[in-house]
Amino acid sequence: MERKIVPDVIGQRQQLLEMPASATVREAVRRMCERKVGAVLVTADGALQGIFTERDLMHRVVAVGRDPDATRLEEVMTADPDTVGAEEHAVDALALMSQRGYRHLPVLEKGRLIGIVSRRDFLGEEITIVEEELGHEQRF
Amino acid sequence: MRRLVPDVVTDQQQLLALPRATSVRTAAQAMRERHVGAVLVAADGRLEGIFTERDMVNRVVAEGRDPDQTTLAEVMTADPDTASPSDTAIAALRRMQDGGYRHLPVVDRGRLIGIVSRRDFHGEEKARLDEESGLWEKIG
Repeated sequence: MERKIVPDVIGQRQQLLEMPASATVREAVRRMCERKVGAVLVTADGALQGIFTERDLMHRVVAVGRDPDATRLEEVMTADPDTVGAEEHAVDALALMSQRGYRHLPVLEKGRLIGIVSRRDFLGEEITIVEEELGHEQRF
Repeated sequence: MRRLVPDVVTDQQQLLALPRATSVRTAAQAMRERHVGAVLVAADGRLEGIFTERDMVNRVVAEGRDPDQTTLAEVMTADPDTASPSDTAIAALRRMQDGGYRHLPVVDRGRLIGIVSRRDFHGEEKARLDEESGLWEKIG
């Protein structure tokens, strides 16, 4: 059966890291560190407004000399980001990530934010592929 | 059997190596310019450490360190795990999974020769999912 984002790649209940657009970069980064995640979802009343990742921290804050205590997420997040639907196929999410260079994609179900999928969630695929290649070569 | 060199580590334009005394700010600027998620720390072609975007989150910004006053020596992972050029792709991928790494420096008899990242394996997993999806279309 073709793999779908939910429930095959991510579980049906994820603990999302959500913060308001007015939170500072410093506050967001502390939470990312605590939760061991690479991205924070910026929301208002459960509605997705943006995404801020560790790469954005590098490129939009530290590399350009912004002060993490004086910069709000709304200034440095990607507003209105690309998303995927929970019922979409895993292969489509992966294709979008590769094309656009994303490491994270928010997941919507009936327009409601329910999760986030990251490249790490696809790691199992990579191991499987390389193992199968190895097995294939050994047969020959 | 696919080996890191020459099968996986192909494009070493991305290799970014800086001295240990470089400030985090300077490193961030270089990483932004070169579109890389990790910088190697080296002296005379010898690997001393690695500093990644995740380290920026956890060791610099979450800790309140000043990127202008902090050197890579203070926040890098010293003496990181490495791979050798003749390692198989599967061995490198497993090492990354076990260690939770996104990058693995490649060292040949003490000399730094490249870096492999998980991105280098991504094309394979997409090909695999495409194949799977094509198979089900034929059956269905």
